[in-house]
Amino acid sequence: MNSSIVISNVSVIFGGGANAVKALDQVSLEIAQNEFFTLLGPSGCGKTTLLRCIAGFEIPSTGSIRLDGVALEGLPPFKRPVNTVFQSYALFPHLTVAQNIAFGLQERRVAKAEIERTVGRMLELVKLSGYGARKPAQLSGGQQQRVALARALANSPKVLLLDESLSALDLKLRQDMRLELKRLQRDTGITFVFVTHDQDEALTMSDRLAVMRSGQVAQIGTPSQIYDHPRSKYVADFIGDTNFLSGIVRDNRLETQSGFVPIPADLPQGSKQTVAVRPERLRLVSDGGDLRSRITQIVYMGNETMYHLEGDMRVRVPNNAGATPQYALGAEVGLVVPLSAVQPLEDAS
Amino acid sequence: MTSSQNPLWRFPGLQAIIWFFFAFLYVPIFVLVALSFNKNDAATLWTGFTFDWYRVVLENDNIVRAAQNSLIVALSATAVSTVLATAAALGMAGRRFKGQNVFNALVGLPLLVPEIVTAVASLLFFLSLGIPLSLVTVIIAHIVFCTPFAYLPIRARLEGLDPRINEAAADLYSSPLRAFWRVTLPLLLPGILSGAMLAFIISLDDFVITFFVAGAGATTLPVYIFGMIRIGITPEVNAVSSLLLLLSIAVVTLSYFLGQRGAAHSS
Repeated sequence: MNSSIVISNVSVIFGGGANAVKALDQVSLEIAQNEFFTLLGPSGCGKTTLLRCIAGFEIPSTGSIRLDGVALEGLPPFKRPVNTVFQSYALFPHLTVAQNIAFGLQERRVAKAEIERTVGRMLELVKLSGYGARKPAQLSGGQQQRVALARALANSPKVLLLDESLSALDLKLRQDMRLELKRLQRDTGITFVFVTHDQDEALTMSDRLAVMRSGQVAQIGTPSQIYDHPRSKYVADFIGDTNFLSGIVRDNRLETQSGFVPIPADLPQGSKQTVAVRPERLRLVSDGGDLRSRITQIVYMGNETMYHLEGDMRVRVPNNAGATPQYALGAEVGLVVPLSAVQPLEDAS
Repeated sequence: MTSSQNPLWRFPGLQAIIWFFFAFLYVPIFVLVALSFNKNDAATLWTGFTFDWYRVVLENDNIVRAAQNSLIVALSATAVSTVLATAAALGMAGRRFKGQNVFNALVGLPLLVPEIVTAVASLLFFLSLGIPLSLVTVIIAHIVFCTPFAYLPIRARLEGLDPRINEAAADLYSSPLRAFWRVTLPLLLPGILSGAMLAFIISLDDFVITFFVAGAGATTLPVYIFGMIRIGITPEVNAVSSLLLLLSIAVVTLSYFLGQRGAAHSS
């Protein structure tokens, strides 16, 4: 892997003595050049702290961060070739949009004519041409967001850091900006490190993502690796909706309370095991099936219907115009569990 | 707030109380200004319009010197206390430390301490150190009590700023010093200006502390007016007071509009 950022054994400890909190605990990961990399996790998992370590706003207690082979230790934020899009945007309210975008270039003493050219190009890139003379307060939230992006991208950073950058926008705008961000990342060829707690954002935009939990990396992979093959209960639960089935391994099947589930062949006989199965991978049938259960709740969701079953299981059935049979509340049904949908979990038994 | 929502508006006799309140507040000031244009020197009887008393005031060397002293004191105290207050506010911003509340209370305490206490204490302080009373002691005392007044609007302004703004500047290659000049100071300016205006007005109007710590020849305008009053209320006193009022109104108005501009920036 052609690594842009190499993070090795980074720990960050806030406070001291008995109140010390490990915000990051021995985190190691590599981010490739031109990659859209996402740090995903709930609040307090350390994702923003890690981003701030790369930007230079936090100093790791141990470990090192290298950018294109150069160690960043000892470099203050204003000497690092990375730029940040802040969650609150942090635009300079006393400067115009154009002056905001020009700020970093001016600080690096770029020639005036080139600054003007770059500012024009950036305004075009984020589709705000003609807004250069306005003050940030005169722009909508989405427009401010794009100014913040332009202000960071104007410096052609090696890495662009985005801290929960979409969370302040409303849903529709957020979905548009996802596509926009992905397009910008492809067009500029800059490495993006994106921090979010929103699994949809992480899955739709990232080339790869790291799921974080209490200061540690729980799993790293492509969106489909993470979604289809979560290694732990935590990851399976955090990303998407999941059924957990527990039982004992017997004859390459998992013996559960409601029936037998096919499992991969390499699991030890007689061991306790939990597997994760996505609700949309299960199939409902009237007769037979691997598991038997009873429908306790039916939730109509437009494009699909969610069936809740006894034994804390959920099945999602797409609503394609009468093609699928309807089941009644309280009906006994069978569940077909394809082997490919079964993901054994490492941590839970 | 509309009359239908607030039950206080239905309180009987409310309008009369309001009128009485405003009359009590402003009629004396209006009468004072009006009488400063009165031809008759028995200050209470109107006999005709004149600017004479203002001419008399401007030709009185003692009054002019007192006015000069007042301006020197107010300008010096404003300059020094505003710088101190800005430094204090910046030092307090963006960090939490033990005893922070105590510090805040100590900075604000002079606002609550009875002025006569500060006056006596300042006098004792200067005497015990053997510092002769002069215009310098007045300036020192004024710097001390003006600082908390200047501090409040600056701190309020600073707390209203996004703490990430400084990080954004650092992220965009600004060293801390550059970031201060290009970002923090311009954003803080409305707060600094209102702080300075407040300090200026407070210093200009001060009587009690000045009266105690002023040395010979260090008489300021309020102290001089007090001296004139002891002889009797003349139209001359009214004219000086009116001039002082005019200056105060001008400074407060300026401060208000600068504050408005600042508020428009950050919204």
